[in-house]
Amino acid sequence: MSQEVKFRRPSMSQRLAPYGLLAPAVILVLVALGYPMVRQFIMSFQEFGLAQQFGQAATWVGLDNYATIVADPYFWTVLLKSLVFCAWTAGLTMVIGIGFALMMRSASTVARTIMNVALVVVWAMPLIAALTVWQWLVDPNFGLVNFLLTSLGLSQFQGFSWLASSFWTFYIIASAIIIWASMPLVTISVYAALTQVDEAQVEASELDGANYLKRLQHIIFPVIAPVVALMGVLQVIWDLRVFTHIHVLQQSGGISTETNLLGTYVYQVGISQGNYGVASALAMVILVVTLAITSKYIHMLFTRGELQ
Amino acid sequence: MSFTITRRGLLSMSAVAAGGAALGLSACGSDSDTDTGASPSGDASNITGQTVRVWFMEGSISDAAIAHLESTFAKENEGNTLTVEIQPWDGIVSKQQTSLASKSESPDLVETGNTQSSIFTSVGAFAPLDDIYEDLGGDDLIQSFVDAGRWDDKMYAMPLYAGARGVFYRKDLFEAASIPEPKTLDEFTEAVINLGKANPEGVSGFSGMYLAAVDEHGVESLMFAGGGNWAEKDGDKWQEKLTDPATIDSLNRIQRLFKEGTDYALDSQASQKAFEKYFNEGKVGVLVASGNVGAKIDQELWDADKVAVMPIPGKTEGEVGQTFAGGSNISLAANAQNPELAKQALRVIFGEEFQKLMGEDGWVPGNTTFSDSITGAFGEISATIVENSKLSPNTPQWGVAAGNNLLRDFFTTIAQGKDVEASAADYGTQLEGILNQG
Repeated sequence: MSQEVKFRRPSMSQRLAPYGLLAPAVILVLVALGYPMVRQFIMSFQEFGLAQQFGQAATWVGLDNYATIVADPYFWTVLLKSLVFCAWTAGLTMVIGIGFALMMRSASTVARTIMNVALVVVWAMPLIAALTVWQWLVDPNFGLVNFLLTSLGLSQFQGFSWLASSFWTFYIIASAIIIWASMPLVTISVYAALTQVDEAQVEASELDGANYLKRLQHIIFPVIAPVVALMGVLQVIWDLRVFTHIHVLQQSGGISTETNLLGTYVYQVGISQGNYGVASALAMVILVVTLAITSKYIHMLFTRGELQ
Repeated sequence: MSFTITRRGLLSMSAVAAGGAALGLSACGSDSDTDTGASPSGDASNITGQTVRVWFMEGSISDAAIAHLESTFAKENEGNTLTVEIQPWDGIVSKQQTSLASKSESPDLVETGNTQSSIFTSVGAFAPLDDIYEDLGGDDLIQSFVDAGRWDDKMYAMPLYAGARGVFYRKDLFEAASIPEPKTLDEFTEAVINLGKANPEGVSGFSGMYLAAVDEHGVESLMFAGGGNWAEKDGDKWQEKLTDPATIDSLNRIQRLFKEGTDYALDSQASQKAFEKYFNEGKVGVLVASGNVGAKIDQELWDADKVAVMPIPGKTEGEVGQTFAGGSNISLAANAQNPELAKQALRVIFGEEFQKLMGEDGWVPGNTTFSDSITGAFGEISATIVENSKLSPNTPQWGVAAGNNLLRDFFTTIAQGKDVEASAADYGTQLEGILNQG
């Protein structure tokens, strides 16, 4: 079956077409992400303060900004707190999210619909509005949480300030809000993956005597694993650079030097202190830390994608 | 940061792209920018179709005064308008840092809290106002604010108003509990604690006074009144004064008030912003507040003659306690689109009518000639209070410390009941470090 296929050399416009189609996306990414990244990278080697913001020339300081950060014990405290906070919050989000998804799988259609609607409402809630309501819930004097606790006879919660009493109670509230807000995405995604589980296979294993945990481990989990891994990575990334929740709650009270996480620390150094150079260097360090933590997962996701 | 893109920025960008008209407008604005040599009124008269944007802070200028400014400006500068945009205090320094640096987004006139002014005067964010200083009141302006508004011998921030703090108290409750008017700060502390215990009206959850760590200027005023201070300049170095015995003594008294005198030591920021409600509801008997709060206290309470005011007492009888000299300055942005028109607006602001309207709100107007316009009970003591007030350290680095929440964090540790000396040592070191940077 030898045959000669004659390829006509594609015309110029045909050869350029793919690039033309790619261009808008590439340009958008370069402008929206590339430019700030490059600017941040450059600024991290400069002494860039408020005077520079208002037009004075910036001086190059080499690695000074990075040296300042590494030598500051406070940075290491914040980094450690961020890592622990991230592990705790992302971990709980995943556990609760998967648990809810499994519950939805077993629930009746009516119950499932109600849960679905509730989750979408939570997911669609604007962040600042949600945070405002949460602040009302935990308000020392008028909050529902303290009202319920004191009604149960726990009088020590009369006028108790969750956000200002200690950084432990602050983190409990912050973490509860983040889990509440990010759990819907995990649940809905994992539930979508669960619908791909072959019911016949589950039934067969049940007949063969596999109990719930065994079925979960050997039949269900392998199917949803890619989605769980992806969600896990996203949660880690989001919870490591969490900013808005912490910042808004800090404005409500408490000692911000004790409650800072990486996101708010960068903001404080950069925006509040006007020390953009050190803040840029700090942001670069966070980027490296995030990549280091998630690189294994990202690699796994990519290779899995190729194999399947 | 400088590359932050806001919605307004995007809108103005698209507006520029949309048509030549918009381009013409912005060119006009930058033309007049370079024309600083000519007389301001002569320049402004041939400008039309412009809008002067003024940023006032939340709760500082009343609606009546704003309406007066807008209508008078429109009348005197035909074809041009002035709009006032009210900004919240939370995160304001960050917002000003980015918007004042922007050629297209910057407002023309901007109010800055007097502890924050020097952040901007020192970096070239404002345009000098020496040419109209005399027209705006000259030596009649509050001089301590004028000094704070100068940088390198140029006048950048004009005193808008001062609002030092005094004590509002329920004299009927004091009488009912047979507590005499306190003459010293120690008597004041005892009176507040005893009033809370007596609870003359039997209100549930009653406490002697409202005092919250997040109300940093209120707590700071009590700290100053008891002889405390943040820091002092010694040569060219700042030396913290938190660990000074006088400050420690003052802080111990405050900690006692936090513990025994109030239920609101760790109140939330949101609640604190409307703290007069606790007073109006009869839940507290004493407020430390600036004069404008008087207007927010229920008229019924005033009418029934239940409220009285007094300066915060000092350590010894007959002495007026020093308080924090709160207040604001107003400045012309270096990147203002319409600097000449903005100067016309400043003339309205420093005119008799506007100054008197500020006085009626309980503020001490920037031009002291009009301070007799302060109405109500607070008007009688406000001059005494302002005379006895003092500023926090006047350096751009103070803005850094405040922006870092250092002051609030420090008072929170006191409210939490942490050891005063240890906390003062800790925060004193931090404060000294920040003040001596840069």
